[in-house]
Parts: sequence; C-alpha cells; structure tokens
Amino acid sequence: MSEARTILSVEDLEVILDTPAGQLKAVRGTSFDLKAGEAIGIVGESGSGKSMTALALMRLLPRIARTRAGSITLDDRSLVALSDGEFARSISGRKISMIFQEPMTSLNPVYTIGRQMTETVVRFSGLSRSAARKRAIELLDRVRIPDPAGRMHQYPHQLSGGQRQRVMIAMALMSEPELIVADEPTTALDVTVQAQIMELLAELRREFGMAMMLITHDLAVVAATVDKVAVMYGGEVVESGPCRDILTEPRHPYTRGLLACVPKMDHAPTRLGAIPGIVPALLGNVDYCVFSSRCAQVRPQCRTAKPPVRDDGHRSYKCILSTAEINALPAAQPDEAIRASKIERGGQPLLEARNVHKVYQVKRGLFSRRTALHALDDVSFAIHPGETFALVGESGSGKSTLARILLGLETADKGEARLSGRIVSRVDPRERARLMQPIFQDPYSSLNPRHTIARIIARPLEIHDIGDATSRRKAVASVMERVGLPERVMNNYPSQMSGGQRQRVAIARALIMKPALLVCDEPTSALDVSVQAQILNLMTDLQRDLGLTYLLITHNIAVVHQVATRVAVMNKGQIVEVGEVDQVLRRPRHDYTRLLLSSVPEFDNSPFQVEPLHSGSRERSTVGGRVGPS
Amino acid sequence: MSITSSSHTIASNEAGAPSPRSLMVQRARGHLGFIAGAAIVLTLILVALFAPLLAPHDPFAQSLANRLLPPVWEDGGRWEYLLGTDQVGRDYLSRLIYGARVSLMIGFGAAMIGMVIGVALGICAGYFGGWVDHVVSFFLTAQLALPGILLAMALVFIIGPSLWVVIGIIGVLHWTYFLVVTRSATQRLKSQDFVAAASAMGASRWQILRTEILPNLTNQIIVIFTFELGISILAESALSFLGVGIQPPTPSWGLMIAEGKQALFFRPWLVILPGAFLFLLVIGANLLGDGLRDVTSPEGRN
Repeated sequence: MSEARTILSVEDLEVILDTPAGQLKAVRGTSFDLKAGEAIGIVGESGSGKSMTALALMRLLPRIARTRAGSITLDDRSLVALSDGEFARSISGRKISMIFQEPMTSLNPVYTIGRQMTETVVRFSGLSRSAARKRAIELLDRVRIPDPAGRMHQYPHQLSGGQRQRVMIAMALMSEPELIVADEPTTALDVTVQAQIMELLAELRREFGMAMMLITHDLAVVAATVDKVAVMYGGEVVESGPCRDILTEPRHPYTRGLLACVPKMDHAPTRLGAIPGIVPALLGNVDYCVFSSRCAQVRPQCRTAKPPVRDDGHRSYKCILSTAEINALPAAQPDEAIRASKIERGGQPLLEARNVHKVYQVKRGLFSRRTALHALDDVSFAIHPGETFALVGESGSGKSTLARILLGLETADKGEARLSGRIVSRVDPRERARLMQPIFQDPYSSLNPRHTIARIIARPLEIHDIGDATSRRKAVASVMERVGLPERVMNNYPSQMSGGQRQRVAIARALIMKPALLVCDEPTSALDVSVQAQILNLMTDLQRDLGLTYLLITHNIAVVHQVATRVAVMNKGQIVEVGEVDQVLRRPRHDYTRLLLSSVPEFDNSPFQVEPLHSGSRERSTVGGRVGPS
Repeated sequence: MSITSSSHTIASNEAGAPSPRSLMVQRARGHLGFIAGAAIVLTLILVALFAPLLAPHDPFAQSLANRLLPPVWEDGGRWEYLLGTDQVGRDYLSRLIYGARVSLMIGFGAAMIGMVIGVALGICAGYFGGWVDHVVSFFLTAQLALPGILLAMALVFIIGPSLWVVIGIIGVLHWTYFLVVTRSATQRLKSQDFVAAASAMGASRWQILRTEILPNLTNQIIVIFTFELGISILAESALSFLGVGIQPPTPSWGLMIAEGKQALFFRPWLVILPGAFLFLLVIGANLLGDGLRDVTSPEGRN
C-alpha cells in the first residue's frame, strides 16, 4: 500500500452552519488522506459531522453552510481554489462520484435508466451515444442487474430498492472516477441485499482500483469493507487508523464506548455498555474535549483544554490518556449476563396467532385485473408470559402487518389472534389497551407534535378516565423516572427531544397502564448505536423488574440475539422457522434463515458461528435483489 | 420551564432547545409581511369596535344642504367633513368607519361558517376515507362547479336580504379551501404512528379526531381562515354592489361603491375611498395569512 500514490488529501476541513442559536461548527478541523485503491470508513452517530464531511467534499452542502479548508487536493490538484462551476464540470461526477443513501429518491423517476446513466458522460466526457450505451450495459451487467440491455429502457419505479442501488453504483462508475463517496449506501436496504451490495462495492473497488470513502453509522459494515477508519464525534475525528486495530483495540474512550454498545453475537448476550447522555450541540468555539460531557474517564482538564493528538505514525487518537493508561482501564462493556432464565411454557399463552391469513387485493393499473397479494399465509405461534418473542424478517415479509393484526389495528382475513385466550378483535379496545401496548419504530411520528411530553404520557389515563390531574401527574413522574427521563422535560414538546428520549417517552406512555405485553415494532432501528444500547438495556431492566412480555419485531439479528428468548423467522408472509434463539441462530434449519444469518455483517474478526447442516450449504446466495413483494 | 440552573451548560442541551412556540415568535418578529398584515387588520378591527367614538358624525344623519361635498384637500372641501359627503349629505368618513363593522362582521362570520363546514367535512373525508370521502368529494365538485355570485344572488333574492342572511350565504358557499386542505392533511396525519398509538390505547374515533388530529391542523386552518376572510369581504361587496347584499341605509363599502358609481366621473372619491379601504383590508388579511403560513410552517414539518 505504501507505494500507492495519494489520491485525496484533506487538511483542516471546517463546515460552519449559521443557525438562529449561533454559529455551529458541524465539522471542525478534519484531516485525512486516501491512497489509490484504498477505502476509508468515516464512522459516527447522527450529528457527528460525517455526512457533512462528504457533502463538503462534493460541494453539496445546504446554503446556510460555509466550508473552509486548509487544503483539499485530488490527485495533486488543489480543489479549494476551483469555482463551483469548474468543480461541477471537471471534478464532480467525473473524478469523484457519489452514491446516496436513499435509492428510492436518488434516481429521477421520469427518465429511463439508460438516459440517466449515459447523459453525463455524453455531455462532459465526449463519449459518443453508442459508446456510452455500451458502457452502461456493461456496467449494469457488472453490478449483476439481470437483462441489462432491457433495463436501459425501464424507469426507476420498475426496479426494487436493491436494484436501484446497483444502478446508482453503475452510474457512479460510468465516468471511471478515482474516488467514490458512498453515504450510507446500504442503510435503507434489507440485510441480505446489504450484504450483496457491500460485497459488490469491495469487488468493484479491487477491479477498478478506485479509492472509496464510506460514510456509515454501522460499525459492522465498516469492519467488512474498509482498510482504515476515522471515528467522528462532535465534528472532530477522535480516532483514526487501520480498521482491524481500531475495532479490536480501540483507544479513544468514545470508540471504546461505541464498540461496547454494539450487540455481539459471538457469546451469550451481556448487558450493553451504553454511553450516557446524547450528542451535544456544540455551539461557538469549543476549547475543550468534545466528548467530555459523556466520557466516563473525564478529568477536570478535559473541560478546560483541548486534548492532545496522540499519533504513533500508525494510528492516532485525541485524548489526554496515554495508550498504557487506556489499556489499564476496565472493559467498557460490563460482563453481566442478561439472558432470562428458562420460561415455563405451560398454561395459557398470553398472545397467540392461529392460522392467520391476510390478503391484499392489488391493482396494478386502471384496467388490469386485481391480483391477490398474500401478506400473511397461515401464520401461527404462541407467546407465553415473561418471554421475549422475536419476529425476524426483511421488508415485505409481513411482520408489520402481523403486528397490526395482533394489536387489533387490522383484522385477519382468516384465522384469529388471541389475547389471553380471547379473540383480539372482539376484546373491548379499552380492555385490550390495558393488556397490550405498542412501541413503534419511528419515535418522530409516534408522538403527537402538538402535545407536551407530560400530556403524551398521561394520555392513556385520560382516555381510560383514571385518576385526577394530581394523581396523573404523579403517575407520569414515576413512570418517567422508571424509563430514565429527567422530570424537567415534562413540559417540553417532542420536537425539543432527541430520538432516544422520544423513544423513552413512547415506552413511558406504553407502561403507564401497566400492560402485560409490549409489542415493539423495530423499536431501535431509527436510533443510533449508543442510543439503541440504552433502549435495549432499558427493555431488559423493565422486563426483569416488571415481568413484562415482549413481542419484538425486527430485521436486526444482533438485537434478536441480545434480548430475545425465542425467535420466528418470517419470509414472504410465512413463518419458515421458529424456536429457541440459540437453536435457530446457531443451528438454523431453513435455507432462508441461513441466508439471513450469513448476510449479517461480520464484526470484530469473530464471524458468527453457524454450524453447517451439511457441508457446502453455507454459500452466500445471490439470487435477485428483490425480497418478497414490495 | 424557566432556565434556572446555568451550571449544566452542556447537559441542559437536552432540555434547552427552544420550544416550538418561542421559535414561532422569533420567526414572526422577522417577518415584515406578517407584521404589516397584522397591523392593518388589527387597526381596522379597533376602528370597527370603537366606531361610535371615532366617527365625527352620525353615519345616518342626512343634511341636504351639504350634499356631495368633496374631501378636505379638494376645492370646496370643509374641515367639518374630512372626506366629504355623499348624495344625501351624510358624512363619508363616518360611513366608512361604520362600514368597517359590516365588512369585518361579514368577513369573520362567513369565514367562521365556512371553516366549520369545511373542516368538519375535510376531517371526516380524510380520516374515514372510503364512501365518506367519495360523498364529500362529490359535494366539493358540485360546489366548485356552481357559479358562486350567481347562486348567492339567487339565494338572497329568495330568502330576503339582511346582514345575517348575507353572512350565512357567503359562509355556506366558502368552505372548499378548508375542505381540500384539511382532507389532505388528515390523510397524512392518519398514517402517523401517534394515531395508531392512540387507537391502541383504546381511544375512540371521536377522541382521536379531536385530540390527535385537530390540534395538528390548527396552523393550516388559521392560514386559510385569513384568506377566506378577505374573500368573504370581497364577496359581500360584490353582492352589495349588485344590490342584493346589505340594504341601504346601512353603511357598507360595497354598497357605497355602488351608490357612488353614477357620479364616478365627476366625484371619483365616492368610489375611490371605499375601494381603498376595501383594498387595504383585503390586502391586510392576505398579508397576514401569507405571514402566518411562513411563520407556522417550519414547525408543521415535524
């Protein structure tokens, strides 16, 4: 690697946002460089400035943002002095290509794939139309789009999400860029598709010798894909170095904390090490350590002076603690086993699905015939008191439809859902509410933006006419304490709260009626890793203290491993496998379960062990990008 | 929510974010159109409320000796009658001041009636969908296909003109904007998780509509209300001008324009003055509505 030339060198990059509350430096003094063919992962939680770094490089920042940089050189050419027009003509899309997060919105819906792919190179690279077309078809074939010539005439809506992201990648490769900037390229995709896309990117990078900048919040994705990592926090790179070293032996307290937050599957689940607090908004000048407000190892001088950069030529980090001092610290993740003891499964199940069917009539056009879409096909399972039952599947597998039926928000076409032995749809809604409460995925839409936090949490009491104003307020205060919300946020509106706090509010609202069962639909997938850890720990605590039963619906296998006792795997509306977590995750029986497990990004150099059923069956399947009806 | 402890400079970040309301006030302060519109509308409301104190003369008192006096800045104008007099010698300024009462009553009354009809139908259509939506949409199409002024004229003619009839008829004919906006906003809100959460709590449909959906519509409703205010005032003027609105001798700006039109060539102020007041009020209402939309919408996004 050392003889390779340096493609990109960024020095002292700053992005400044002028907000009504004051000047906010979203990126402060970031420096890194990248050699030809090398991949760097920029990792951080939301608000860390990682996307701003990429956007600043591509000059795609919103208008309120200003960029300042010591120097940015691409292939020995300084980019700082270039005007926006020159940059757009000669760099953007030609030397540097970008892949965006949302494949659903990053292609223009009114133009064909072919036109979108060839337009830029025909206009700017002087390629002839037919040559551009030929290259586009080649590249579509290269990113494994079936029937590439036919796809050229199709429109984006005719492709699945995974296919669109492949088209985006092929499009980014059209002008043979030297650098690809990928901003969360797989976050919006299913895990099996994610695995295929990441593999494809790595392969193409080797083949074309491009450098890549991968922006992501997912440490496991980084582990499998890049050579070196820069960990960002509060707009600063707090630690950087070779990927393996950082992930196995992190030095900065933030990196250590972050890694301890990730549920790992290589040993029995232990309590996650959560970083307390939230990412602060750092307004104005920061002449202290950006992580000091959340750091477990904080010293008085961290709050008064910037920490030194400790660089051993190989890797570097910003902290007052020396490597030896850090190595002497206790592990960031407590070694506290949390898997609940065996659940007695005699007696009546708390929640039960019996041969549930749900069929949607889909009409694909005004005059076409209706086709039946089997969202749920003969689904049965039983959840017993005290257990955490996980329902795993990818988008379109029917798991959310099932949740809505179980909650009584929709009705099954055939079969029935039973709550404590009674059919859910026939139980009085208010009585049902006392037994079962939902937690939704998106904490931004699950709270009414016009109500205060206290009102939101007390709402169930209002609806059920329980208590008076004082007793309600007391109940709210006690349940807020239970879920770890400070009392001072009572009169806040949801827009004043962070994602993790909102999810705590949603949990508090669900708990105030003291239900027996919580139905959690992707409760942490909209949250950052460190916040996910806080919420998962909270769920574990609540189960231990209150004897709650959970139905956990998720696509995240690691979360299942962390909290569930039993798991059911769903695919295309059917439950393909159900059993104890250890049983299903270690010794899967069904092919789809194997595919799902093998797609989970491998983390920490300790691949998740799946015992082969018979040798040769663990090949990673690359059947089409489409999973289930979408 | 007062900021009492300053020791938590960093920790207070979680609670220290400005509330939606204070952000709105901040935006309103910097919005020129909003300030101008609010100032105009407020001034005219005050004028209407305190008309008896402000008007120099009785608006109904005729003085045939002082017919068609020009405003004070023209030749022959008198300080006693600042804006001159009309065909039967009534003080024009006093009539304009009292006219503000009629215009504002019609504006607010009619917009209120339109709001009740439109919002009720819109929420039901948006929330229940299905056949309710079809029926409401049919009403909407029918209403949009009807020539408004013609229908209003016919109705006033049948029922007989009076202030309350005019308010009622204009209101009943101006609910379409309310319906269209609340319907689509409700459709969007309905699919949000907090509505599903409320129904999982056992809330009835009525409770969901009232406590979860309606508070989220207030911004849009206020904005449309101000626009409809202006439109209703214009509609009343049109009806009065055509002779089927407010009946003489009640002072109404539209009626004053109609009465002045025979003398338009030689006594243009008879038309220009009420026209200018009308213009001022309507533009004030529109500026206010525009401003309100700008001031409230950033919060509406989350």
